[in-house]
This record gives sequence, structure tokens and C-alpha cells, in this order.
Amino acid sequence: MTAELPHEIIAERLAAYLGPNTAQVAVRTFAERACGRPPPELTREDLPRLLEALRPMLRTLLGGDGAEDVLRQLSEDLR
Amino acid sequence: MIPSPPRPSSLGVLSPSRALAAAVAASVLLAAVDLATGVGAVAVHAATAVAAYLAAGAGALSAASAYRRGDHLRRAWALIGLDNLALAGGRLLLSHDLFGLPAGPLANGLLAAATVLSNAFGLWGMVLFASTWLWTGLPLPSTGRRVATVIVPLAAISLLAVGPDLLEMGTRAAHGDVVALSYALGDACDVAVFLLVVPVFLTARALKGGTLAWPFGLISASCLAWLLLDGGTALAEVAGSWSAVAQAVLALLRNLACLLIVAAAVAQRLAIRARPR
Repeated sequence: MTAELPHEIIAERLAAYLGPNTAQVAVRTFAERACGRPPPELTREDLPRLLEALRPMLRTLLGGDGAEDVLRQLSEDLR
Repeated sequence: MIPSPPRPSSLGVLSPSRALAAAVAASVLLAAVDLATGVGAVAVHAATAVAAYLAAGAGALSAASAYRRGDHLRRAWALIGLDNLALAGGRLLLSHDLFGLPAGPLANGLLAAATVLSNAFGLWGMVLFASTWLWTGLPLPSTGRRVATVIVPLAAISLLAVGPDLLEMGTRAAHGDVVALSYALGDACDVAVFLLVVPVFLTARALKGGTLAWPFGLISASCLAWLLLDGGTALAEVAGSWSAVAQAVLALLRNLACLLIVAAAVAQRLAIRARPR
């Protein structure tokens, strides 16, 4: 299944590293924490905040360089 | 158009599953060398042990080098690397007569220092691995009650595995044996490490389906091999059975414990180096 909505695209990308369940949990957790709304209700304006909120988690698991690469790729995919 | 999701687990011919297969094969091969040469061949036995520890140390340091300075898992991997290098040093010192170091306070002091250092590095490294999930900011993957149902029996098994040696070393330490004191501290650290496997394993389980599950899963497997080694050693001591086969099985478990760390390090490097297409 191909992801179309922004939160689906992010979860699909993260799933390669975190597994599908945790990827969904991560998107939901940080969407609510950083943007104050559930993933399906995210707007384009919310995405930079969501990506920023994902950074510490990605840094912990992938390291600084790996996290920046993933975030850069996500930003491109979401354009 | 959105490209298909990345598959960062396979880079060239290397993959976590192949690293695992290689680790198991190399562990069996090293144990077979031990058995074929007679486990009584002290130099060969020492050499295979040191080779396994050095491989684990080099692998873990290699995983650490894939991270940036200040990254959480860089410290964790570096400590596991230092742990194994100290184990290699300690194993060499156990066979000090092979390279001309006379028995005495110097050899004993160095052995005790290597034992304490390896356990301190190992415990600290495992604390960092076990706390990784907390640093992600994600909700905990399991309830406290579920964790307790795993930890309590694991604590009992760990104490059974380590207890006899802890008692013996504690008694000898009470009579001023410095090396025994370091071994007793090491036994206590082992119990703590075995309990820390629970959050590490839960992290692996939560990451199931992602490349990052592999390093955490393989680290858990390595600790399980250590637990079996401690339990097997306790059983052999209680039964008074130190046959060549029993020793080879124990050597196999030690090799597995070390080489699973190498496989985990390979899996970690693959996960970090992978880039979404």
C-alpha cells in the first residue's frame, strides 16, 4: 500500500527503522505533543513542527548524522 | 510520486541475519578447535577465548565509531567494547605463565583490576542500552506489571546461576583474596546485567519489523548466552563434572556471547548507514 497522507508517508519511512507499530506510535505521540492534534488532522503547516519533534528520538536511535539524513529525506518526500 | 519504502537492512552482501549466521558458525568453529586440540591445551583454550573477546571488543568499538561524539548509543557501544577488551586482558592474565609473568601480587592485582573494569564497563554499557527507550520520548512499550512478571523469574534464575560462585568468591574475599573479591563483584554485576536484558529485549520487540530491532535483539541474545554460561558453570561445579565435552559446551556459550555482540554491532552499523532512497 502506498502512503498518500503526510502522516502516512512519515510513518512508512520510519517503519523501515522502527518497525510499523512503533513508527505509527511515534507519529501519533509527537503529532499530539508538538502540534496538539492527531495525525489525520495535521496540516502542511504542522509538518515542520512534527519533524522537529521527531529529531530527539531519531538522534537517540540513529545518531546525529543518521537523524539528519532521515529528516532531510522526509522533508523532500513531503514537498 | 512517493518512492517505495526503504529497505535499509541489506547493504551489499551484509545483512543482520547473515551476521547472526556467521557469529553462530564462528562460535561453533572456535569451540571445535578447543575440543579437537583437547580443552586441556591451555594455550589453545586461552587463545580462542582471547580471540572471541577481542572480536567482540573490536566489533562494539566499530559500532561506536559509526555514531557522532555525544550520541547516546556511541557511549553504550564504546563501553561494551571496553568491557570485552578488559575481558581479553583478564583472560590473558589468567594464563600469565604462558608469557612469562610470574604468579604473585602483580599478576593478581592486574587480574583483579581487569575484572573490575570489565564488569564496570559492561554494567554501565547495559544501563545505557536499557535506558535507550526512555531517551526516545516514546511511551513505554510495556506495563510495569508485565515487566515484573518477566523480571522476577529472571532474577531467580540469575541468582541460581551466579549464586554458588558468588558465595564461594565472597567467602574467599572475606579472607583477603583480592581476585576473589573482584570475581564476587563481577557476579553481582552479572545479575544486574541479566535483569537489564528485560528493557533491552522489550526495546527490540517494540522495534520489531525495523532494522533497529536487530542490534537490541542480538545484544539480548548475547546476554542470554552469558546467563547460560554462568548457569552451566554452576551446574558443572555442583556436579563436579569438567569433562572435555562440558568444557567445550561452556566455551561455545562464551564464544556465542562474544560473537553475538559482533553480529549486533554489524546490525547496528547497517541500520545507521542505511539511507532512505
